[in-house]
Amino acid sequence: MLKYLTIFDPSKSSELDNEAKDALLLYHEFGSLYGCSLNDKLARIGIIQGTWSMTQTIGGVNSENESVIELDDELIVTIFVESQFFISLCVSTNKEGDYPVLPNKIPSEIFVSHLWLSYKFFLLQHGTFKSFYDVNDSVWNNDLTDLLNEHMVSFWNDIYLKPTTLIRRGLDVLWHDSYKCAEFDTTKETEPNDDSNSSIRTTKEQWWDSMLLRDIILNEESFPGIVDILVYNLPNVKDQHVNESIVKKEYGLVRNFTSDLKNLSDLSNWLYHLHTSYGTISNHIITGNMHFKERVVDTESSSLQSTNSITNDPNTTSLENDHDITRNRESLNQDTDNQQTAMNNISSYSNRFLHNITLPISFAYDAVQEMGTTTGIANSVSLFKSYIPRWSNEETNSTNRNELRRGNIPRHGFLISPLSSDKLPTSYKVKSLNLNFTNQEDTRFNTLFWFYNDMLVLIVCKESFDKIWDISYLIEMDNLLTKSIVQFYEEVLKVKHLSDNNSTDRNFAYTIIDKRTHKQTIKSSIPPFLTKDLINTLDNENNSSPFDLVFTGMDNLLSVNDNNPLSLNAMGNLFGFNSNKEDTNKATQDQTYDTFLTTLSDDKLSELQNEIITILESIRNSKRNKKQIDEERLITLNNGLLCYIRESDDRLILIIRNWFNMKKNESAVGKKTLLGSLGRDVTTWSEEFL
Amino acid sequence: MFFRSNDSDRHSGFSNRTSATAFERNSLLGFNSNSKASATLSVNLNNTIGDTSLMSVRSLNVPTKMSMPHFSSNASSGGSIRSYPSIRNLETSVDKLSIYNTTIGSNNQVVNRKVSNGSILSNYISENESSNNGQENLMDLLAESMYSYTPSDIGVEGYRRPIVSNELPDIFNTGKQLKQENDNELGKQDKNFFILSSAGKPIFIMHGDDKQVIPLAGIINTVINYFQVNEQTNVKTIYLRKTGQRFVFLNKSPIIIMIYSRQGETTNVLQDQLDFLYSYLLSTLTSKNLAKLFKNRSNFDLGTFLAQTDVENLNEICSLLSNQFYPDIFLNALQSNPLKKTIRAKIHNQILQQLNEDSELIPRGTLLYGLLLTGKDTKMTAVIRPRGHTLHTSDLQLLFCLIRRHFRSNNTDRELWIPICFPKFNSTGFLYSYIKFLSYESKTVLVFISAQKDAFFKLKLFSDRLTTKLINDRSISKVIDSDREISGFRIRDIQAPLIHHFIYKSKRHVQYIMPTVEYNVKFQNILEDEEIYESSHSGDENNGNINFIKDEKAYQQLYQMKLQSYYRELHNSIMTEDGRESLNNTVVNFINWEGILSNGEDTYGENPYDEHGSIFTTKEKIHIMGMVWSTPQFELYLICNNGVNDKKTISSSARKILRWCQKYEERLFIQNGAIF
Repeated sequence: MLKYLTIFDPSKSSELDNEAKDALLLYHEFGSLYGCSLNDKLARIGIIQGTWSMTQTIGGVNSENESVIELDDELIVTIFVESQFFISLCVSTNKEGDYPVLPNKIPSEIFVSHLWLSYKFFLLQHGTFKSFYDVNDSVWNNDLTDLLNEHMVSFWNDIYLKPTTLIRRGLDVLWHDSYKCAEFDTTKETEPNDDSNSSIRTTKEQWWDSMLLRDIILNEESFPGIVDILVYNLPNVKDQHVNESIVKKEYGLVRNFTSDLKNLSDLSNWLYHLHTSYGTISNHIITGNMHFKERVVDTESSSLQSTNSITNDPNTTSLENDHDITRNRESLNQDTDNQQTAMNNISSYSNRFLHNITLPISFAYDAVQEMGTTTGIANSVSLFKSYIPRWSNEETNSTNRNELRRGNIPRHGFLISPLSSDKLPTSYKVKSLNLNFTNQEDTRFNTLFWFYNDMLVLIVCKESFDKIWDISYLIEMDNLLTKSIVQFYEEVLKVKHLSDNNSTDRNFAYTIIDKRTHKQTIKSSIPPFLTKDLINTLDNENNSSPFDLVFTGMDNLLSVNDNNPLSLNAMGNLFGFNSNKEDTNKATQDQTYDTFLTTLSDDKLSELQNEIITILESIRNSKRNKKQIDEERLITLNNGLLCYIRESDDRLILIIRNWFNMKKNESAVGKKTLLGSLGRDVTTWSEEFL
Repeated sequence: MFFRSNDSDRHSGFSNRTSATAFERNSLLGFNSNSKASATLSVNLNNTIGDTSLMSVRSLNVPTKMSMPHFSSNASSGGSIRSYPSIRNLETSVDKLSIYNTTIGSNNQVVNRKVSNGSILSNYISENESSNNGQENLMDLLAESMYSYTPSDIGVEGYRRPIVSNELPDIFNTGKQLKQENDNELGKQDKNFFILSSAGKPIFIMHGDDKQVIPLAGIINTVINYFQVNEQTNVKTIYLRKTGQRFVFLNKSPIIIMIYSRQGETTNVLQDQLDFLYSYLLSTLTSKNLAKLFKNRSNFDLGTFLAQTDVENLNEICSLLSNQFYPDIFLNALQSNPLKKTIRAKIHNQILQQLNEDSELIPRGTLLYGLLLTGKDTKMTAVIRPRGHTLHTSDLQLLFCLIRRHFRSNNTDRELWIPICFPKFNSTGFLYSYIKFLSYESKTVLVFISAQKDAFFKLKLFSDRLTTKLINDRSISKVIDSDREISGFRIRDIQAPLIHHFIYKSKRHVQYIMPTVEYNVKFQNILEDEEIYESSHSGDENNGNINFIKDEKAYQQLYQMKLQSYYRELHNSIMTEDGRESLNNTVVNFINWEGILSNGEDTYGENPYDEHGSIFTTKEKIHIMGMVWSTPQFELYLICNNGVNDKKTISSSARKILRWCQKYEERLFIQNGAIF
């Protein structure tokens, strides 16, 4: 599906004494054993730049930063960043590729959004591309290419191996500047940044968020070291077998305590992306050490892998031993006779790169295999657990396991904190991110990650805040966080579950985009347009489970050996605890949660997604005077769905409902207006929320 | 039974000629309407539209004294042309309201409407007549208020906007766009067309001078060749998402065509336009000649080879595709001329009869196709074709474009003999078109297409005899030999209230119909007060669109572009990018635009008064709805009057239009034509 990814800076090639190849910062081909020649690469970036210049000249508009070149069976999606760099992705639209074919073609808008996300996640973790420019030598620091390889290639390679990632977040991903907010059906619901509500609620003692504010942020030990706490609810549809629409609605940022965080969207989207890509969030995922394993096996790369030094230090995954294309400029400059050899080497580098990333896992897996061979016992993964130190006696008990899975026994603890094993690198102790709290330049902040079942809490601290290295302080923080989130469960989730049965918004789903610059929020109950069956099928086709299982085993091993009860590594339900039998039972219990969207087949869902994206794109392209005129549309599709969309200067509302589910007299009252035609329940809902 | 378009025609002091025009039109169409009162009126009374408070008797019975000095003086002057007619000018006569609950009398009411073809269909309702003619006339007035004259004003204390205005608001910045079209500098226009040779030589470029164009042609050529040679693929589109710019390519070696547009069309529509341009080139050269010209001479300069007429035709086509109301392309259909079934049948019979009589003169095989076209929009009135053969829509569209240009250039030639290639019929050879302009006034044209290049005199003789025969028939001569253009129907002829304009396409016939394009000149009248106008607009580039309105022709073009913009938005709303006709087989889509449109806000600020305390339109409340209804049988696009936000009424009107179109299908569309 994906063909190549390239990042280049044309300004470098135009400088005196520079060659064309100096413009190239990154060039990666997906799944190709034999990469193309340097000339071909330069030709490709040249044509991308050429088309860009042509469009600027003819259009006379210089404010553009996205382009999509559509070829017969390819798409070249380009974004222009920092007024200097082009990031381009080439995608094959030919359905006959060897990679899992999704039910329908993925619209280009989704690729554009992901390209932006990959760039923004890079900014979040490493800063702008320009910041890597070595002013003294007038060249790009090699670190930039290294980091681009580590970050961008991994990001897109995961998508290459698991294309469902592109559509798993549903429509939300189209608005890469906005972030999803969690909504709960309770009167206590608050919007993120909405401090006014919390001030009212302080009249009652011990609201969960006021506990966080008072006991952690404003605590004299913490203040002003802790800048913000972000609370996310990240339930997993696949695991929970509940109404997807409700899960979607409650997914996202629940609360944070400052309105100054300018790149809140990027931070939130990064977490959502990790969660949807990997199905969970663990310390390895956050540190960027967990990626999908390449399926391609060739003898040459295998031999190369075997010659690599094996280390179980996760630091090696940061590409220290990696060879990437642009770093090998010297080899590329060699005689043409040597080029083919170099290309052969290059072609294997991507495999080796991924291999290196997954070395710790491979090591553990190999250890199990070895153990199986030497002892003569089958090396199935199910037996693996009996050879490693156990989590605890309770957890191996199947009854308790079921309880744990159902959330009756909560799991909580730090994912990233100084409490992590000393054997782990610093990135497991604090995650350093570029955040912008002042609307000026990004500054680096330390972040700690803590979870409680499906809740993820980010604690953002100043780099100078040393208190986080104090173990007793962290243990105290763990207690406070637990207390607060338990309170949240009591206040919000319990009330929510009581009201579930009376929920009125089952027959329709909505997305509301707040486009005001200081908010940029998404509220949505439209689930991704993929059935659970398809997700499971595609996941099982692409990625074998041993990868994940081995990783879990590693976590347990480290935890127990360290004797550190807080070193839990993955939030939510651990992979190993999912039982098909239990899932079936749970699904049977929750059958009443089916919505109108869950009744559609994969093909229909995928078609619906593309139709909605077409409608959204059409209204986006509307040539009306957008500042003064609002536009609303009501489309009746022949598959029985009503699609309402309204776009104003500051908001976009999308509502989908099943026309066949409407009672005959239901919409009679409001038939005069487009919104009223959606039925009484939508009207009632809109009066309250719009 | 003849359809009476509107009772006001009878009562309102229409000139004889205008009344006759309406009468003739309806007699030719044969539409039937039993209702005495306008249907528009009846619905208007029974539905709540726009600001409901205005519908009450109390609110209609507002004091006649205008709050604005400028208009109050006009109001008291007894119906001068510059008066500002609106609901508020009407006085209610309670006695006359008894039947309908609401009936309105008027002291001063001026309706000044123009039809785009120039014939005035205005109703001048005099003070005395309106007060004497009672209920029906009052109802007419209310009906007229549906087509009222004022751009609605808001923000003026004591002044209420009319309930519904048919002044089509410019919500797509069409005026600005129109102004930019006159700027030839590259990058200033919303749309541009590039025709190049495969060697990169410019053949035709709509906007841009040579200095800019030649290097660009090289880049375009490089881009196309790169993908073809290096990647073994073709570039189809380049889409810039943020600014909505689209570049669509067609590579038909040795010709490359590219369209640049930021007008919001889908790729699919632009590809059709590219194909149309390419078809034009083939129609003048044929694919065989084109290949011959470039054979062994890839560097051949086709631009210099094309005749001046070809360049003019290309300009005309590009202009049609970018800044004129030309639904034929996006609908992929031809406009038919609604005509009473018997009259059309009579025309067809006369043609067939003449063909039989002249069977020796016109032996089988001489005549391939014949057409009788009416009106400057080249609406099809009659078709002559051999059994089992039809011409492709785009081939006919090419022919019609040539005829339209002939009308526009005021060429007085009565007969033309043109070799023309119909690419979809046979792209390698020419057919020969005999074109006879029967009446320049009614824009009636007779076209005969033959494969024989020496058939001119035969066809001329046949045509002369046929023309004589047709003219001798009184009912037919009204169609083909009128001294004015009377074809078509008006929106008022259909009982579909609150609809401003619509297009109905019958997919089976590949034909569409629409009401005659009408526009108000009231806005122009307001602006005739030069003192107000000049003092407030001088030197302000932002108000360039208002300056255009001073020129009636430009205003007409602006109105047509506004219509085009609305229909384009409606059409885009159901189209997919990848060429599927619509999102689903059956789609119903309502679009509602609402807001407050401010013209030149920077100039006016919040104060709508000028220094004399007079008002000019600064802000306009927008509440306009459109609808698309697409099924495998038909497509219906409609635009409502400003002020309408009632979906139920629109649905009801749409159904009425649909029923009307289906009921009169045989009159609205040419079924089979004269088959020989």
